[in-house]
Amino acid sequence: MSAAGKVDIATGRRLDGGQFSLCCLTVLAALLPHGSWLPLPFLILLLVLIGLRWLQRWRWPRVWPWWFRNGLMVALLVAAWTSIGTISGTQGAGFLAAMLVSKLYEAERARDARSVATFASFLVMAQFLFHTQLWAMLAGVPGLVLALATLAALNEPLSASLRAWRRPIATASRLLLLATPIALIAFALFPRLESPLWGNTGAFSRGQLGLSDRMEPGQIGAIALDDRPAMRVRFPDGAPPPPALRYFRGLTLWQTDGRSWTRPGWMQTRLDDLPPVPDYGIRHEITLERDAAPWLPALDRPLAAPAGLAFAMDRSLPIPRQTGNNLRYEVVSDPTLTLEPFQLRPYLRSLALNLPEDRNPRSLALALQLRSQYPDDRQYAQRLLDLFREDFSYTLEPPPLGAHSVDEFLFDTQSGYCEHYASAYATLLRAAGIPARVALGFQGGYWNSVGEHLVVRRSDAHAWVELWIQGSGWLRADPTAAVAPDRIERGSASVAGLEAGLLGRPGSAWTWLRDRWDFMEMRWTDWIVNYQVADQSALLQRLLNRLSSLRWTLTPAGIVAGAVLGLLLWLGWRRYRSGAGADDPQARWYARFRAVLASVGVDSRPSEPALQLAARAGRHYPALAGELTALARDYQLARYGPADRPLPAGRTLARLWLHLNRERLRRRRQTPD
Amino acid sequence: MSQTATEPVAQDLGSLSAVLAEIDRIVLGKQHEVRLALACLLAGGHLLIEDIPGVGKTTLAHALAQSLGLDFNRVQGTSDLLPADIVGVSVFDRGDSSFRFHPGPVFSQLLLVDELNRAPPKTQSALLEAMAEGQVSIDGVRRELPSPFFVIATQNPLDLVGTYPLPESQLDRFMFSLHLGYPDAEAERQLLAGNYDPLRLADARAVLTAAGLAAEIARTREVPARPALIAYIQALLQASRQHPQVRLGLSPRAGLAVLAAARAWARLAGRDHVTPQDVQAVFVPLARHRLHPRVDAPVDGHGLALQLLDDTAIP
Repeated sequence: MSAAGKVDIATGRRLDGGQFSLCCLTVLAALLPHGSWLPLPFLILLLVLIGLRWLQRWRWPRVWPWWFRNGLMVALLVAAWTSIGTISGTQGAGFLAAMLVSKLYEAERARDARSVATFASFLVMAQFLFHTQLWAMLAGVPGLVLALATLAALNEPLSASLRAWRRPIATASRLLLLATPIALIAFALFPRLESPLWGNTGAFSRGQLGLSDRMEPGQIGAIALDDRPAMRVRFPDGAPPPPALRYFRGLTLWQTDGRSWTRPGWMQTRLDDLPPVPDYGIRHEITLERDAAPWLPALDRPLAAPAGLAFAMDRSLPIPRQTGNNLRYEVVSDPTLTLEPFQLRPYLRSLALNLPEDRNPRSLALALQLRSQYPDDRQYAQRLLDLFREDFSYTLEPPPLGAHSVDEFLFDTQSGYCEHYASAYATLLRAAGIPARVALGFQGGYWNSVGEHLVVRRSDAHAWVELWIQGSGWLRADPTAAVAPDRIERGSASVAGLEAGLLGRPGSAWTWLRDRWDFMEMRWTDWIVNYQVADQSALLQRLLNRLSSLRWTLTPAGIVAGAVLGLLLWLGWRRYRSGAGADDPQARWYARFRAVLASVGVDSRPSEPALQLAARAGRHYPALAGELTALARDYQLARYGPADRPLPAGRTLARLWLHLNRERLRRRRQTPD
Repeated sequence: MSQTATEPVAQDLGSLSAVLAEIDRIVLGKQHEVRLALACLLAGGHLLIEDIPGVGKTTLAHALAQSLGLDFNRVQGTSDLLPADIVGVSVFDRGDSSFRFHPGPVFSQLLLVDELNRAPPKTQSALLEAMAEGQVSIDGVRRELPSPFFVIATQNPLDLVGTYPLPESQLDRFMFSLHLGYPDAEAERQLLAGNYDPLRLADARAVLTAAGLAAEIARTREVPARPALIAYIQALLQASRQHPQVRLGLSPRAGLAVLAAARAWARLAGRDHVTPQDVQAVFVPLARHRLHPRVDAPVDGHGLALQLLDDTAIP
């Protein structure tokens, strides 16, 4: 009598054009956020395959044979392998994408569409392995909405016009909105692991995302155009320090082979705790993007950490092991702090003077010659800076250098980026017997007046030199400042016309927009990405007073499980009672009868007589036809019969539900397709 | 929609099942319609059969009359049919110098009016009094009609040239408006194979007597209807009056007819109570000619009746 009668519950209908197009669109939307990391040829291949499949089903509908589908899948997997190079870890998402696209080639029935939608949602989720920023979340929304819309559209025929899609999309959006509060509660209360399931070191080993603990010519230049934020710094006590003091020191590099600089592994083996808060210094709170650096940068020089951090021998701050990816920390720094002013430990001293003998001979000779003119350490160091200032130029695209990179830089090219200057400066200092090391970190930053914080971008990565002078300890010397003072005063953006292109003029609409976006992104990072065990306990502590640590794990789980269970029970109860504005028991019984049948796919209209409904359901479940008819007849007798007959007991309905579901399961096992 | 309802016929139908069997023997492949026609008579209503020529309208009427043991008259509707041709006429008798009344065909227990819409309006309305009151007034004298009194009228809905469409008041007097439709393939094959013989109609047995039919009608009136069912019928009436495409909804008289017909249908199903399914079974033939769609409505009365059934929740 109604459309519901036509639904084939066992196998699911063939997809019509509209539903299939929605499937394709879902895959497309789930795939696109991965475009940020998938190799371009592979991505294009996938997109083309989606388009071809869509066109093919539209114009030349046919079911592809199994060998074609399997062959296509294998070919796609191979393509993923060759273009991505690995399947381990997060890169496995490339395989996922390949399999999803090949799934489209066998999508013919409602069941396939269901797995495509589920699979696509998973792919959407997988992109958070790569990006945790706000835009990543926003980029996931279309895929999720479309996946839900696909599921919603399976219930009735859908024409392939955008107008017709409005309804399933509206349904999906409404569902997502409804789910948001539940998701938030689950997010806030769901128990978290102390450390994440996967380490965050993998990203650094590729060396393409941020700074690493190694410096080679051209390495920082490679990220000089990377406009993404590396960290955000807030100064709770007042204004930020002047630009010239905005050195965010990461770690120091000691060993050189004449070309690259590295740091001895044991530097990090002995850690000392930073003392708690002193009553002076610049207090600042840093939120570091997870993949921006393998250590915690802090304003030079870190003095204390209220929440507790340890520093290594060179006073750099390694990422504590236990915190996982909690990269928000507070440090108090004092730019005037002196380090080891009176005596350098002998092994450190020898390490800070060590140079490979067979490299950069011209530089060594130059150092000896200058040293004879300037025997005083400070004068010698100053003379070197003057030397740079006179003849050298600063460029983002320095010529490539060979094995004697310092020689080539000093005498031939004479133009370079901060790492070239730092490397040459440290080499010349060491050659003259002055202990020196290269410091890596960030310098500069952009003051966001909306969020009142300093945005330090990856392009602000910087290298400078620390030299040791008797009585003064380690001093910071930045040869880049001598060559290009603008770089230090106004930040990396002042170099080479970057200002107009990347950042825009202050006061323009673009700046206005960017400030606000950056502010939102910081809040996102603070509240969502960096929401950790500690925050959770703090929240719960506020909510639930003090609890033992065991309960901290169990209580949230219990609360979430209880809330979900309660919600499900409530929804089920509502459905059970639905239709029954029913205050009399007979109408209520019948509403439940209908609800039981609806739960196994036999929908009914309120205008359908009981026996007719029972007969229709009996055609779907022939094994239970007798039971269904008997129940309907008993109900009819009770409601319309001449004498007051009792209703069938409530447990007969429960039994019916059980039988129906058993039957359905049995049938599903019998028909695998 | 309800044609597919499967309900076994219970045993205590008695003579009624024999009547059904007898008619089914004569009218092939029309069990549902035959049942509806019998229900109509059991509910004390008059029957209008609307269909094209040659599908068995007259045969059905004949079979009903004979198997129910009713005396039977037939009038062919033509444009020159006068009221007197139906109700009868007083003729001056020279012998005893007085008017003697010659009763017309209406004085029978079952009157078949073929092609009613070809009769002129005056004749139609003469029939109206007979159908409504069970009496006729001739020359100022009221004359009672025999009891039970049924009218079965047929009309051809397609060939409308030279016809006088029945006014709404007249239509309302008919309880059911039946469509017979073509027989199904199996029945038609049997028909062609010679299993139908006009002679059979002649030797149809009278299974019931007029008195027996009257008793059945009385019993039908006593089939109980519970409040939930009354509520359903009322909801249907209400819905018909509020439907946006209906110009004229169902009258209270139509409501009474629904209840009576549903009782008869329940009785024919061998049940001792009325269910919503009975109401749904009789609703379409009962409401089809009473629901008048708006001029711009996309459906006719039949479609409207189906819509009402589909939209009205069973309480």
